[in-house]
Amino acid sequence: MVSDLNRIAETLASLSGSLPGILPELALAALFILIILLDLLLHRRNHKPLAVLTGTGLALVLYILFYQTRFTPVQPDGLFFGLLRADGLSVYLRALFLLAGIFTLLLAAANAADRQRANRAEYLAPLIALLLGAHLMVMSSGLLMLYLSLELVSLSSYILTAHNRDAAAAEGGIKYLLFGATSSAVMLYGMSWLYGFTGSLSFTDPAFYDALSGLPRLPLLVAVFLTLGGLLFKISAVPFHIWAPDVYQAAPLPVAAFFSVVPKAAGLGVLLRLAGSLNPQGLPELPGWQTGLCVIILLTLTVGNFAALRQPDARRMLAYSSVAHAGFLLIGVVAGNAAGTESLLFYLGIYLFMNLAAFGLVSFFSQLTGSERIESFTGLGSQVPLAGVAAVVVMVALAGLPPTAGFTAKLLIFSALWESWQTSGNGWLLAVFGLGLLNVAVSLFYYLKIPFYLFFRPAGELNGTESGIYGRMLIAALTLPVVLLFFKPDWLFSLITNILK
Amino acid sequence: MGQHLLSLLVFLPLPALTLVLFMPAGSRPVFFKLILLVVTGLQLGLAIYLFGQYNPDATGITEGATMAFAERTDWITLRMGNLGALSVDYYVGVDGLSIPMVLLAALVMFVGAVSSWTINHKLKGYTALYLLLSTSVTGCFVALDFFLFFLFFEFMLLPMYFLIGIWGGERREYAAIKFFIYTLIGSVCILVVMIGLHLSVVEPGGVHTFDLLAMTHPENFVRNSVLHPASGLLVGGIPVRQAAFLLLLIGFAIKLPAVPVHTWLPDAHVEAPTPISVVLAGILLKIGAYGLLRIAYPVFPAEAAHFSYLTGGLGTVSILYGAFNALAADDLKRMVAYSSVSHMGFALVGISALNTEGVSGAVYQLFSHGILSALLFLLVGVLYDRTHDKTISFYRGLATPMPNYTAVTTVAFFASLGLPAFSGFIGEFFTLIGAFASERYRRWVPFGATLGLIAGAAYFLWTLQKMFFGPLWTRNPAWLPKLTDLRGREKFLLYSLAGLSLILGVFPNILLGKMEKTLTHWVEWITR
Repeated sequence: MVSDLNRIAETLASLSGSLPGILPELALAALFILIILLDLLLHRRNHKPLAVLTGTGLALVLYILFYQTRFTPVQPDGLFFGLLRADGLSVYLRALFLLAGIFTLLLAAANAADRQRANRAEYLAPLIALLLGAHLMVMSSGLLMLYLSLELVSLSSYILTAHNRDAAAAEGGIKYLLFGATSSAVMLYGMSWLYGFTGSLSFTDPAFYDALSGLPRLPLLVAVFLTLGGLLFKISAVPFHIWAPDVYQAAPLPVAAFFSVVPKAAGLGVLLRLAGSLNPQGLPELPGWQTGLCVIILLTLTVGNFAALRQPDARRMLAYSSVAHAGFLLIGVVAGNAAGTESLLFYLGIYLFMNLAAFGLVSFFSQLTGSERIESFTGLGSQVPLAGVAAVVVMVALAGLPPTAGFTAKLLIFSALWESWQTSGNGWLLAVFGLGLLNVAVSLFYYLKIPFYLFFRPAGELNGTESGIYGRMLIAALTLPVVLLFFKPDWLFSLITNILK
Repeated sequence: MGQHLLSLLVFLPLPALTLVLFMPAGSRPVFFKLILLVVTGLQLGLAIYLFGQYNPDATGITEGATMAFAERTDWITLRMGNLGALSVDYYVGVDGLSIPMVLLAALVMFVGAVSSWTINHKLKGYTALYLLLSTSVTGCFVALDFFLFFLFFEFMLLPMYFLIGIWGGERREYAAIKFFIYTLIGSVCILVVMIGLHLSVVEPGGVHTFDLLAMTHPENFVRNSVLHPASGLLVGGIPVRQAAFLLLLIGFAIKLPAVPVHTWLPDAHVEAPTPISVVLAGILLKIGAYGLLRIAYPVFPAEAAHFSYLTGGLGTVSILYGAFNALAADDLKRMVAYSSVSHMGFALVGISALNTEGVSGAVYQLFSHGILSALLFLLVGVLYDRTHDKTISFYRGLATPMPNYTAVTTVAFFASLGLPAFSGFIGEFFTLIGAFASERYRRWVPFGATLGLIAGAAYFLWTLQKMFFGPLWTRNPAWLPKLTDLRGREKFLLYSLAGLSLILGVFPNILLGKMEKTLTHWVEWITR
C-alpha cells in the first residue's frame, strides 16, 4: 500500500517535473481557449480584436520557447516518461511553426476579404490547434503520441479548408478529409505491425531498432512504408499528393500558405526522427529503406514539376511546386547523415520565407487584377515594380538559382546527398542526385511564367484595388531574408548547428 | 588600393545601378544612356590600365601565388555535421589567360553601351539590367573560386533573359526561354561537378574549399573521395573522373556553343536587339571556352587528354556545320550567328590540340572573334535600324547609296574569313598549325577545319556579292529613301573595331606576349 502510494507520488513528481518542458504548448492551449471564450463573450461586437490578440499570443509563445531553451536544460530521456522530447530539432521546428503562424496572420491582414475572415474564432482557433498539433508532432518520440498529434493537425486542417463555406471549399474539404482519413488509417495499420514486431511504442528506444533489424525484408518494408503513409500525406509526397492543389485552391489564401509550410515541416521533422531510429548512423541500414525513399523522391520531384508546368492558376501551380519541394526536402532525410539533417532544417527555414512570399505575391497581384490566373498578371511588373522585382527574386529562389538562399539550400542538401553516396555507394542516391538537379531545370520553366507575364506582356485591365504600403512592406520583409541568407548563410546555419548540439 | 582594382572593375556598375533604380522612369533618356556610357567607359579604362600593368611573367593556372591583382577574403564558412567545414572565398585574380578576356569584356560592354543609343523603350529597366550584366560577365573572368564563378555564371542568365525577352524581335519570348533553359541545363551539369569537387578537395587544414587552383593539385584531394585521381569508381561503365569531365564539357559546350547543343544561339541572336547580340557573341560565348580552359582542363588533365579526339572532332563538326548553315541562311543575322558557331569551333580545335600553338591560337581566336562578331552584329544593326528587315535576298547593290557602310562591311567580312593582316588570321593560323602538329586526333580534324575556312570565304563573299554589288534594288521600294549612309556614332564604333582588328592582326604580340607564359604552363600541366 505504502509502496503504491510512493509510486504514485513519484509519478506525480515526474509529471509535474515535465510540465515546464511543454510550457509553449500549454500557452498555445491557453490561447486556444481564450480565443473561443472571447468570441463567445464579445459576440455582439462587430470589430473584435481576435486576430491581433492571436498574433500577439503567438509572438509571446515564441518568446517563451526561446526563454525556455536558454534557461532549462534538455532532459535526455524525454518528458512524460519518454512520450515527448524537447530537443534542439523540435525547438527549431517549433520556432518555424510559430513564425509561419505569425506571418499567416500578417498575410491575412494584407487583404480586405481575408482580414474580415481572420477575425473569427472559427478561423483562429483551428489555426492555433493546428500549431499545437504540429508542436506535439515534432516532439513526440512514441508512435501513439505521434498518431494523436497528427490527427490533431489533420482535423484542424479539414476545418480550415472548408472555412469559406462555398462549393469549392466543400469539395476541397471533403477531398482532404477522405484522403486524410484513408492515409491515417493506413498509417495506423502500419503502426500496429510495428508494435507487433517490437512490442514497443517508442521508436527512439534502441530496442526498437534491434527488434526490427532481425526481421525478414518484406514484412518490414510493408510495415515501415505503411507507417510512412500518414507522414507522406502531410508533406504531400507522391503518391499521397492528390489533395494538395484542390485544398490549396479551396482554402483561404493565407491558410493555403500556412498549409504549404507547417504540416510539411512537421511531417519532415517526424521523418527525420524516424529515419534516425530506423537508419541509425554506424549501424547497418534496414534493407530497402534508402531505396524505397529514393523511389518516392524521384516520383515526387518528377510528378510535382511536370504537373506544375501546365497549371494556369497561380495557386495550383504553387501547390504542385510545393509537392516538388517535398521531394527536395526528403533528400535531407534519405541522406541519413548529420549534414542531411542540418541542410534539411536550413532548407525548411528558407522555404518558409520563399513560399510565404510567393503566396503573399499571389494575394497582392490578385487583389489588383481580381483573378488568380497567372495570365491575368500581365504587365503588372512595370506598374508595381517593387512587387515585380520581388516576384522575380522569389521565383528564382524557388527554382534554386543564385543569388538567392534557395540556391544555397539546394547546394547544401545535394552536398549531403553526395556525401551519403560517397560513403554508401548506393546507386539510387546517385540517380536522385542527377535527376533531382535536372528537375531544377524543368521547374524553372513554370516559375519563370510569373515574371514572364509580369514583364513581357503589356498590361491588361485592372479590376481590383491596391493593398497599399502595408502589402508591399510585408512582401519586402518576406523576400529580403531570401537574398540576405544567400550572402550570409552562416547566420541561419550556425543557429541550426548550435540548436542541434 | 592596388589589390582592390579587380573588385572595383567588377562592382563599378553596382553604385550606378542603385542610382538608376532611384531615378524616375520618366527621366530624360539621355541621362540613362550617359550613365551606361560613363560606367562602361570607366570599366574599359580600368581594364586597359590593368592590361598594361599586367606582368607577363605570371604563371597562373595552378599557381595561386602568381595570380596578378589577387584579392582573397573569407566569405562563407559553414560547419556541417559529418562533412566538416565548408568554405567559400571571395577570391579574384588574373593570369595570362584571363587578362585578355577581362579586356575583351570591358571593350565589348562599352561597344554595346554605345550602340544602345538607339534603344528608347523602357530605358530604366534596360540600363539597370545592362549594368547587372556587365558586373556578372566581368566577374566570371576574374573569379578563382568555383562558387563565385558559378554565381556570376548563373547571374548572367536573368539579365540576359529579360534583355532578349523585353527588347527583342518578334519571337523574343520563345528565344529568351530557349536560351535560359539550354544554359540552365548546362549549368546543372557544371553544378554536379562543382558539388563533387568541393566535397573531394580540402585545403591544408582540412577545410573543404571551392578554390579552383587548389582543385588542380591532386594532393589536395581527400583520400578515398569519389573524384580522387586514383579513384577507380565507375559510373555507368566509365570512370567517375571522365564522367565529371564530360559533364563540364557539356555545360561549357552549350555556352560555347558547339554542335549539337548550339540550337539556342541562332534564335537568341536573331531575336535579340543589336547591343545584346553584340554582348552575347562578343563575350558570353567566350565564357564557354574560358570555362574549359580555366576549369575543365586544369582540374581533369588526364581526362581532358583522353577526350581530346572527341573535343577536337566536335570542334571541326561545329566549324563545318556552322559554315554550311551560314551558307544556307537567308537572314543576315542568322548568317552571322552561324558564322559564330563556326568560328568558336576553331577555339575548340585549338584547345584540344594540347600544344602551345593550338591553345594560343584558340585564345587569340576568342579575342579576335569577340571584336569581329561585335563588328558584324553592329553592321546588321545598321541595316535593321533603317529598314527593319535583314533578309539577304531582299537587297541588291547597297554600295550605291551606302558607300561607307559597304566599305566597312567588306573589311569586316574579309577580316572574319581570315585574311592575313587581320586578327582573325592570327587566331585561325595558329590554331591550324597547332592542330596539324598535334598527335591528339586524326588528320581529318585539321583538314576539316581548313575546309571550314574555305566555306567561310564562300558565305561571306557570296553575301557581299548578293547584297552590295550590282544595280540597286530592294524588295520594298519604300526602303530606298531610308538607305542612308553611316552616321557619326556608327562610324566611330565600326571604324575603331575594324581598326582594332587590323592592329591585332599586324602586332599580335600585344596579346600573345601577355599570355605566352601562362599558356605554356597550361600545356605543360595538361600533358604532364
